[in-house]
Amino acid sequence: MTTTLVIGVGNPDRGDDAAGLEAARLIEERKEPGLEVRRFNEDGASLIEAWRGVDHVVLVDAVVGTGPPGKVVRFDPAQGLPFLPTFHASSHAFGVGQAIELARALRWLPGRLVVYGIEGKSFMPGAPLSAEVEAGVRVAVERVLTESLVREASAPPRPCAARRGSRGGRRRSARAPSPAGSCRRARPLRTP
Amino acid sequence: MSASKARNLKVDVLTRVEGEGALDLKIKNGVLHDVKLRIYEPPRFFEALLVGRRFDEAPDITARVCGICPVAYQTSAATAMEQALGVEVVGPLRDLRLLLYFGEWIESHALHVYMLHAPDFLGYESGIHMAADHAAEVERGLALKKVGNDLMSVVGGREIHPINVRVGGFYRVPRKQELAPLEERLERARDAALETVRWAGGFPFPDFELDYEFVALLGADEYPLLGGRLVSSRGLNIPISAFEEHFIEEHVPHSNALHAVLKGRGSYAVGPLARYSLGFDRLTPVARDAARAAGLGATCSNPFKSIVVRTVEMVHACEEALRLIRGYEPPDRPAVEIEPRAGIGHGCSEAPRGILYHRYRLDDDGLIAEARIVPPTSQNQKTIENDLWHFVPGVLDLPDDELVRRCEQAIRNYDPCISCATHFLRLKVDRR
Repeated sequence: MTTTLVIGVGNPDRGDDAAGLEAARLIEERKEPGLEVRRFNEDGASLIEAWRGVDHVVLVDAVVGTGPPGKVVRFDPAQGLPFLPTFHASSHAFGVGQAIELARALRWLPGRLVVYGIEGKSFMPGAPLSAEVEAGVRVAVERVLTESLVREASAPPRPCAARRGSRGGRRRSARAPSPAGSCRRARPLRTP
Repeated sequence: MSASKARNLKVDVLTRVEGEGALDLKIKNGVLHDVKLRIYEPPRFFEALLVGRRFDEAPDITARVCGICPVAYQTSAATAMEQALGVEVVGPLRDLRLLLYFGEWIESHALHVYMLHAPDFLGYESGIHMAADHAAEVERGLALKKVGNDLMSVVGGREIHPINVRVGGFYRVPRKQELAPLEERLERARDAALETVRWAGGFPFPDFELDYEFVALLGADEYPLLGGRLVSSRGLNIPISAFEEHFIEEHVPHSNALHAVLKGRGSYAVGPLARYSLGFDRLTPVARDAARAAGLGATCSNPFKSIVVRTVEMVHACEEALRLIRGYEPPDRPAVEIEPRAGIGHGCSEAPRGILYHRYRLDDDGLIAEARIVPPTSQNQKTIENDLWHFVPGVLDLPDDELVRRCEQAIRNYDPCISCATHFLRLKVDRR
C-alpha cells in the first residue's frame, strides 16, 4: 500500500507553535493503515531529508497572518507558496518555506506535498496550546485524515510542478512572490 | 557615479549570518571615512542568569546560546567546571567529547560553506538559488551536514542542543555497535569533503592579505580543538587561565556585542585561519595534502580563503572521527565522580568560529557565583571591521549594490554568529 507521510512540525515548548506536533500526535492515535506519522522538531535541512523518496506528504505547522487564531489553511506548494520564504533573512536555521524551496530546486519535493497551516495565537515559551488553536488542531486532523484516506482509496499521484518545470537558477534577480491564494485551485475535501 | 559624491551605504539586515546585525559605511569624496559593524540583536544576559544555578546546569543552559555550536558551549562550560572542581576528563571520555565536537564542526562548516558562503563566490543570491544550477554540489553539502548531525545525535542524544553532555563526561556512553554504522558514512563524508576542498579551491579569490595576529588553542600534538594553551602568531603563549590577563572586552557605542582586544596590541583573529596557520602541521596528512593541492600554503592570511580552510577542516574532522570510532572501546563509566565545592575554573575550546572561553566561580555548595563567557564572534568583530577598512577602498568604485554584496562576502568570511556575540546584517553605505 502507498504510504502517506504526515509530518507535524513545531516546537513543543513555544505555545501554539506546537500545533503541528499535536495534530501529528492525534493522527497517530487513529492508527490508520497507510498513514505514517512523524513529529518533527529539527531544522528545515533535515526536513527535506525526512520526505525524500516519499511520494505523498502532508505537513502540518503553525502559521501566522492567515486570519483568526485556530483558522486552518491549506497550501499546495506545487502551485507556489502563498508567502515568500525569507531567503534574505536566512541564518543558519532553515524554516519550512526555505526547506520547500530548496527541495524544489533540488527536485526533492515529494510527488505530492500538501501543507496545512493552523493560525497561532501565542508563541510564549512554556505556554500550552491556546483554546482556539486546540480547536483548530482538531479541524486540521479531520481534514488531513479525510484528504489522505480518500486519496489512498482513489487517484494515483500526479507529477509535481517542480519535476515538470525548468531548473534555471536565479542569479541575483528579483522574483515576484508566489501568488497568494494560489492554493484555492486545489481546495481539499470538505471539513467534517 | 561621481567620485566626489558622498555615499552612505547601510545594510540594515545582514543576510546569511546567524543573528541580527548591520553594517554602515561612510564614503566622502571617494574616500572611506567610517566602517561600523553594528550588532543590534539585544543582549541576552546569559552570564547573569547563570548566577545561583548549580554547577552541573551550566553546559545545558549555555548550550542555548547557540543552535549551531551548542557542543562548543557545553564543552567549554564542562571543562571550566571540571577545573573548578578539581577533576580532569581524559582517555576515552575525552575522545568521545572530541567525536561529538567533530560532528559539530562537520555540520556547521558544511552549512556555512555550501549554503551561506559559496553563493557569494558563484554569484547567487542564496544557497537555495544556487541549488537550481549546482544541485550535485548542494546535495553533497547536505549529505556532509547530515553526517555531522547524525554523529551529534549518536553521541549527544540529539542534533540540536545535545542532551548527553555533563560535567565530568556523559550521562550515557554509546555502545560500540551504535558507532559502527557511522564508519562507512564517515569514509564517504571524507571523500565528499575532499571533493569540497577541490571545488572551493577553484573559486575566484580577491588578492587580499592582512598581517593578522592569529590566536588558537594549541595542545601537545593535536590540531586546535580542546584544551592546551592559548598561542598567537606573534609569540603569545599562555595558559587558558590567564585569558583575562591578556584579553579585554570593550564596550563600543555602535554594538551590543563587546569588542575583544589583546591588551596593548589590539585586534586579533580567531577561527579557521588562526587554527590552520598555527596548527597546519597537526592536520592529518590527507587534509594537509588536500590543502596544498588547493593552493594553500602552511599559513593563510587571505580571509576570503577561509572557505577553503573550512573544507580542509572538514576533511580533518572526518578523518579524526573515523580514527576515534575505529579505536573506540566504551569507557567503564560514563562520567567521573564530582563533589561540589568552591572554586574557580576556566574552560576554552575551538567552536567552529574560533575560541570560546568560559570562566565560573563556584561557592561552597557548587552554585555559580560568577560567570564569564567570551564567544568567538565578539573576538573577531574588530578584525572584521579592520578587514573592511582595508578591503573597501579597493572596491569603492563599484555601484552600491555590488559594493554591499562584496562587503557581506567579506563579513561572511568569519561565519559570524551574532546570536552568540550578543548575541543578520543590515548594510548602510553613506556616500557624500
